[in-house]
Amino acid sequence: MTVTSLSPSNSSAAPPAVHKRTDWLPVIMTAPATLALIGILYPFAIAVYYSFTNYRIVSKTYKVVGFQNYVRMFSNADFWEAMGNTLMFAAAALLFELALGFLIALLLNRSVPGVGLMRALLLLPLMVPPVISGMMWKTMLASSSGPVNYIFGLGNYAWFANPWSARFVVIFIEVWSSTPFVALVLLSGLQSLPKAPFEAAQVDGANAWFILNRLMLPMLKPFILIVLLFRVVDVIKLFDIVFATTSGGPMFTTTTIPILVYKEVFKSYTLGSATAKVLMLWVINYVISFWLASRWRKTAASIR
Amino acid sequence: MNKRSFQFLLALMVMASMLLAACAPAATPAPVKTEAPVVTEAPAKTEAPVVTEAPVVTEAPAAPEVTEAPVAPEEPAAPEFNWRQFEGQKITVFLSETPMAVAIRSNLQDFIDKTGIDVEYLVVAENEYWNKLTIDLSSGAGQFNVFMSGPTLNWGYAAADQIQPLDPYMADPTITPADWDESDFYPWALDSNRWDMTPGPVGLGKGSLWAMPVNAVNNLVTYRKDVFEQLGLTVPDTWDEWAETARAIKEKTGGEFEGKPFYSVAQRGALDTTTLSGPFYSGLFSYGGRDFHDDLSPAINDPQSVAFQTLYMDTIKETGSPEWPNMMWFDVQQGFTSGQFAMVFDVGDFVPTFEGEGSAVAGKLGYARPPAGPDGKRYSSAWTWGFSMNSKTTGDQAKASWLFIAWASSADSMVSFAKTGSWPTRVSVWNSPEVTEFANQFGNGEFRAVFDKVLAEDVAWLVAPMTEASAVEQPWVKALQDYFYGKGSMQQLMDQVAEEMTQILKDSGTLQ
Amino acid sequence: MKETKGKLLLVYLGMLLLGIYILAPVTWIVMMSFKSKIDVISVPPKFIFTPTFDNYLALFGLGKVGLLTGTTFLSFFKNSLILALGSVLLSIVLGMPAAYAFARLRFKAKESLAFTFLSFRFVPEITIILPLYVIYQKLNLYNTYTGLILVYQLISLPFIIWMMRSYFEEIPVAIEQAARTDGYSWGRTFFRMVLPLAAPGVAASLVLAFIFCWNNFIFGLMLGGTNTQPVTVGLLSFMGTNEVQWGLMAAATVIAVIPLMVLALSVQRYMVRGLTLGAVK
Repeated sequence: MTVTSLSPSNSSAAPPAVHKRTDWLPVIMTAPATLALIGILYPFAIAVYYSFTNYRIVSKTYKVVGFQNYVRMFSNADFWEAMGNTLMFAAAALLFELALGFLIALLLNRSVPGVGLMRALLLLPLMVPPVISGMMWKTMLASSSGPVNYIFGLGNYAWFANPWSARFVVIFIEVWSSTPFVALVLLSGLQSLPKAPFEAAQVDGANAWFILNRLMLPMLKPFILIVLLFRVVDVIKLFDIVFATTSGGPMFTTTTIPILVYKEVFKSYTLGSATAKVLMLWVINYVISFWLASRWRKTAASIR
Repeated sequence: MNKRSFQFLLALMVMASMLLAACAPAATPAPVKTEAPVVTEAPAKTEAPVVTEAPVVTEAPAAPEVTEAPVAPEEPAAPEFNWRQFEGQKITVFLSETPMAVAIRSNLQDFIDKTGIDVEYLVVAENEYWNKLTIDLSSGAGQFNVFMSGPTLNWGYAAADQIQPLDPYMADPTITPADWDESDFYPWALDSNRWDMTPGPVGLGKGSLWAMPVNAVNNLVTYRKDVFEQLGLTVPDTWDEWAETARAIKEKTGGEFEGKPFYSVAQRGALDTTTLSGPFYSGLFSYGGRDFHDDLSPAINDPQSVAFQTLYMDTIKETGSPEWPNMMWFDVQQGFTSGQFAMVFDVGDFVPTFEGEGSAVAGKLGYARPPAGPDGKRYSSAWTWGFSMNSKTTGDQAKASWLFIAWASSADSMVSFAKTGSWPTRVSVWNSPEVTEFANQFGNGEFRAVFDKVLAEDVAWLVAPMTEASAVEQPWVKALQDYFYGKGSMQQLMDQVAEEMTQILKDSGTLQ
Repeated sequence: MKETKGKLLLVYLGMLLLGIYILAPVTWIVMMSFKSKIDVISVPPKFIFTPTFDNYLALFGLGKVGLLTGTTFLSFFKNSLILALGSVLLSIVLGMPAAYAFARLRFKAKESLAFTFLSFRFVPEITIILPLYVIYQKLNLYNTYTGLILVYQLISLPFIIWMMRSYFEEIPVAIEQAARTDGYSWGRTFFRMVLPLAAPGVAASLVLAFIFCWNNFIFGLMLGGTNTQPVTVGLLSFMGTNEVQWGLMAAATVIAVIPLMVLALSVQRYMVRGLTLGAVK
């Protein structure tokens, strides 16, 4: 894995050091974690190598084909459609998760009776494994035997059969199962904010919008960024929920790159070209996360 | 602050102690596992069945049932079969979560007692099963000596030398019980697992046996007798009648029956290879269509193929459930079981569920053979669950593995599978009193009578064997869905898929 | 902050809506777990039905629903507990020093290293499964708790490092410097000042990391065997080849959620304590 320099070179952004002249300390402190993760470099390197071969997992031999997998990937309509879906789902899911998560965090950031229970309940959707969550939602949205159509009087509408409602539902399920994570992190962020500025603002008679926009959001920014940092990667890797509900259909409308790749590996056996596609996700995740991480670095430093 | 940190540490300690407590009983099973049989050079070949060890226990070949009554042989028996000849061997078996696997698990102790072979097994849900198996085989690890498998996936495994032919074992009288009778199998059951590695229809049914079939998955029409009687309809005998009947049901019911949404036909349709399995292929071939020509050029855009697919898809579109593009096999089974459909053309293995305690349609069902094509051809596309052996398994362990396969494919085992609805591949088992009685409870004997005909006359292996079998199905399923949404004419869509299929075969080097 | 009556009403209305949003699907799963086979697939769906305990009984090997009897569900359950707890504990041991170093120390390539930890999450697991499988077979890690706990670090370690880092950074350096000037040792400062202050965040990250490990499916499936398969793999085993055992799957899901819920409720107190954290600033 490439290690690119990320740190802002201007030392003003770096936190003031508590410990001085301790060159050995960082090494010791990060060594265990580094050791643990170095192990992963090897399989990853092999995966990168595969992406330059025509490896089919049911052939006895394979050979290096250079960039052929990549070149063909870029002229492959299926790839682009799946990439479009991946990015669309990711953007939509993130938007809803952030908005909803923030609202929930605001709602639960107070000490009134019942809040503790709600916070614990909030974890429930996270506790249902995504693949089971997907299957259960499929039963809930079944056209004739599902409770959703029955309760809302929607007749026998087939949610997963209309390309747009299928997309909507997949995003909805993802939002249902992951918003609690966003809400929880933002909630703990809200709780760590200093009280004084808010009290002062209230005394000054500042309106709610001002408090939200000028005080709360900027102070919460590191948390928003860090939650994004984790969610972006997961929504781009979105697989379980799609697989359990639509398996990528109807047509190709819910096929994300992970779904496409999964089918390539296990149905078409073309591991080489599948790995090339997956590495594209790696690049996308890398770029987005890199940007988010450097933003986070800056805001975290400026707040302190 | 002090208190807080203390409580936090306490929480950590609680977690740690929970872990330790949970770990304790499980500490033993961990390491020993992977004594993978990497004996590639196989030096042990010479030391034939170890008969020298003191009280050799052989069984009278005439009495297959005897497990506890060993008869000591008078003379040092040379090439005689003996269940205990590989006592002490250890094999690992991989099973897919099927009714059959449930039966195997409950009978497994019998095998262990009978042979002294230690069997470790792992069971995983079907979809995940194939994934894990594929990874295990292609990684070269080969930790599962014996595993459930079937024609389509075996072709890939066979071509990559990941599994080994079973014929040499089957032909060896020292390791195959005398009452294990090869001629008892339905010929199509063995043939559908034979392939000579020639891609395409010509290699069909020839060459080595890659899996020993034990469960025949065959297709038949199941329909709602009550609905058909009420509407004055008769069960369709041809695919054209199937389409007409479906339309008539739709017209007469108006899409509702007993106040609930009601559809004519339940067929698989999800964007998954499940959509192109037995039921679909049966229809395609009965109608005179096919998947590939002998020269490996796609036949899906031939006139008869297009005609069938148009008929099939139009019928589903007009009279099926709007959920078709999302229907997996279990949605078909469940939809029919819950009473939302008038007829279903799918596997006979669903019948015990259709007629079971949790079914809304139990006792209301009639059965019919697969619909015939325009020129009277009538096929049920054969698929079988069987057992294959990893090519890494050699020497005595391979023979011990074969004993397991021989045991699992014996008539006795197959009777126990059949009673879970996993219909047998042996004629004698299908006709045994126990299985006859079990099958006869469905539709007052109608199911058995119909399925008997299916097994005897209609079953054939149809899908062209090649390692790209499931790869070429990917664009094909999508095209069927495209047709469902009116994205083009069947001819147009199939022409496109044919091109893609050719490209796939070229990429893999099968076509030049 | 003081709440007016009207605002309080709004708050409870919001909480009610939130409760429905979260609980409605959960209720469906719980209901399903008490349904007989015929009620599960009923058209229209049944909301009033005669509850049956068959599914739960069958899970504990006491009854029979369909073909599955005496499932080994409890061992799946135990495996998940070991794997998730083990992974989180290992992640703390490995990750906490790193997180603190990233938050407080200045050293070369710090950000690059931190980002590299994060970057291991970027690829779908499917990419590395095949090479990992080979390695695990060779190192005898296949089907061992150790092996799975190690690979689960891919899930929990980057998460723990980055979350803890952000919580540590929230704590004003001044507090630490003050403690150090007062003659507290470094370790004492960390355990008596820093960690308690970061506790709510740390607790939240631990719970979340635990849940993420608990929910993982692909590693347990591919790298686990009979002795180590987690509950997620067990849940899917109710998807038989001929029918899906919805009732059993729902009951198993309910049971699988209980330990997570207990964990969440017990750590909840620490998250609440975090309310006072702002006071120190």
